[in-house]
Amino acid sequence: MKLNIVRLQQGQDMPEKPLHQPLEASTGGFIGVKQTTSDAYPYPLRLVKKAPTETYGKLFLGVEESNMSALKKRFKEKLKEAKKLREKVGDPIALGKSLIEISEDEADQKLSTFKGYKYVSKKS
Amino acid sequence: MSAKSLSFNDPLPSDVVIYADASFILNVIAGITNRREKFQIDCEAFLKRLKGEIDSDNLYLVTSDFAIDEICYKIIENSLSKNVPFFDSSSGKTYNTPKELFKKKPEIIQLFIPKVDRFYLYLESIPFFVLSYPELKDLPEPLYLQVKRLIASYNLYPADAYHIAVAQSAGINYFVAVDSDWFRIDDINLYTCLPTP
Repeated sequence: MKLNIVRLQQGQDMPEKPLHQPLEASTGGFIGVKQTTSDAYPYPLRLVKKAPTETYGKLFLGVEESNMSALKKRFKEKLKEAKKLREKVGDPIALGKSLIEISEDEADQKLSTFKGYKYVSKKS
Repeated sequence: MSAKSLSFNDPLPSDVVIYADASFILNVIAGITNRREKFQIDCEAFLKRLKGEIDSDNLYLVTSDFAIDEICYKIIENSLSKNVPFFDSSSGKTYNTPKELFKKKPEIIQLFIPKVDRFYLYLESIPFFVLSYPELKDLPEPLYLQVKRLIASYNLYPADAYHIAVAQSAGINYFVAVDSDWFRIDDINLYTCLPTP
């Protein structure tokens, strides 16, 4: 992974030359990080050059690649659990649709017996 | 510059993480909230496409704590709205607004817990991976400052700014949302069924 790391002053645009400096703002100003190619670093390392009130460089750093890999790995584990769950609940998209009538009926039924309250619907 | 707008019929990327905004999820769970969201059919069809790619390990779908908060609130608020006026036979009083009903009879929330449970079941079975703020460690810029910058830069509501900040902090730059405000955000890939302005 190659990154262009540059130190910016307020109002300065992102230069295109790489500087090998540590990722910390020690002298005030801002540190900008820009991806070298579109696929070299797949995260939104971007320079925000303009804001409504001022022009400034700003660090916008995504997570480390290892964290993204970890996220994908955890998702795959979750997907395995989801597939097991689907064996019980069926297709989740269909589940969403089938809940319309059930939820209304169930709510009405529960409301009618809920701690002695009487439900007065909008229709009545 | 603005968001790169992609329709629900455009090709899906491979091996990327897509962040689902609450506006999208609220459409696909319209059944659970008893709401008939305007774009429900389009969103359901797109979710079906996403699910196919997810099941083939080609795609990852996430959302965040902030979306869960927003959706649970909508489920409860909508349920309260549906159940007013509410007559309390024990006191002889009638509560005419959702806010009044909740403030006077907060235990009524118990009636809507099954709906929340179903929503969680739905999340788990698609699945949506839920990004939690505590997982976003060692951010170079605290989330709340990112949010302030996003609000100011793109004229966003805080909730939308939080979604963007959480996703981008996790390195995600593909989104699905049904909210025209998102078109203003630079350099994101936005799947939506809304017409490009």
